[in-house]
Amino acid sequence: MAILKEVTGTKGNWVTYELLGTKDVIDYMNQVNQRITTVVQAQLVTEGVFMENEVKASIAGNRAEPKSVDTGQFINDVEMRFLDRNTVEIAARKTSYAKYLEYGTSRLPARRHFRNSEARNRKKINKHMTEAIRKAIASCKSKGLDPSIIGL
Amino acid sequence: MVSSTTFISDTVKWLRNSLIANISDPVTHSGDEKFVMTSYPHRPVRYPIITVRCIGTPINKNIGIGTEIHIASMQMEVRIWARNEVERDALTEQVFNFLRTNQYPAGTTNTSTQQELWNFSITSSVPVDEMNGTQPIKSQVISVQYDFFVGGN
Repeated sequence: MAILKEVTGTKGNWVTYELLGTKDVIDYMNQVNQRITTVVQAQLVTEGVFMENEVKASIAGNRAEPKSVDTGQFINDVEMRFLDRNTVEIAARKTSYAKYLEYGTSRLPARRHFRNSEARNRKKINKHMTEAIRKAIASCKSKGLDPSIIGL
Repeated sequence: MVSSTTFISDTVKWLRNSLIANISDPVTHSGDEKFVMTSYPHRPVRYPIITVRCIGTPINKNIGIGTEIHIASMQMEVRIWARNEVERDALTEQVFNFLRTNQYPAGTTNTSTQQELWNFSITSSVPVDEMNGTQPIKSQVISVQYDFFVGGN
């Protein structure tokens, strides 16, 4: 693939430049990107499920926070879902009183099931994600692909 | 300026005093009544009020090999407690705008960077509307984050 372009200089001169192999480079970058993205998404699911269980453990009273189970609606409503390719959300979307338990009200102290679970496990999840990306980069190299082309 | 030995209480007090000085009180609290306080109230109060608390200080990285200076991500909660949505939204906007525009210059007294609090960000803002009672409280939980170099001063 070649792109030809004429550029006029400030004094009326002109130059022609030609870019070769852009399609090959883009294809190559896409291959590297796809391989790494697949691994990251798989790891996101693993970490999302782990966090969902951590929040449920907190609600059930198995962590530092007080138990918040009465009818079981809140704990059963906590679910993980993908917001986009790179973002996972853990939320209780159908329970109207979930935010009162999480943030508290003028009469009820906040129980912080979600935020405390996130704070407790942030380091662990960062470590797992970093390891997964390192493995993905290593697998690229073993297939003859160079991840440094996309800045890794 | 926030000190390494008392960085949590210094940050909470600086944030409280800054809000007292810069957010207009809609009802003029007087005497023992406070408009901005550093803990959730344990006695009847006159709304609206603002509470400021430190809700976490993960110190998760040092600034390099061979140093004991660490970066603390100071997570602060600024919570607006108001009588209605209009009042809550107005106070929330005031707090947003004040915190956003109070970062620089670092040489000006009481800006966040002058206090050595860096990388200001609002990490979340969640409305919590209570439903019970004749005049239910409308609150907004604003999570604010600053980075501080513990051991840097």
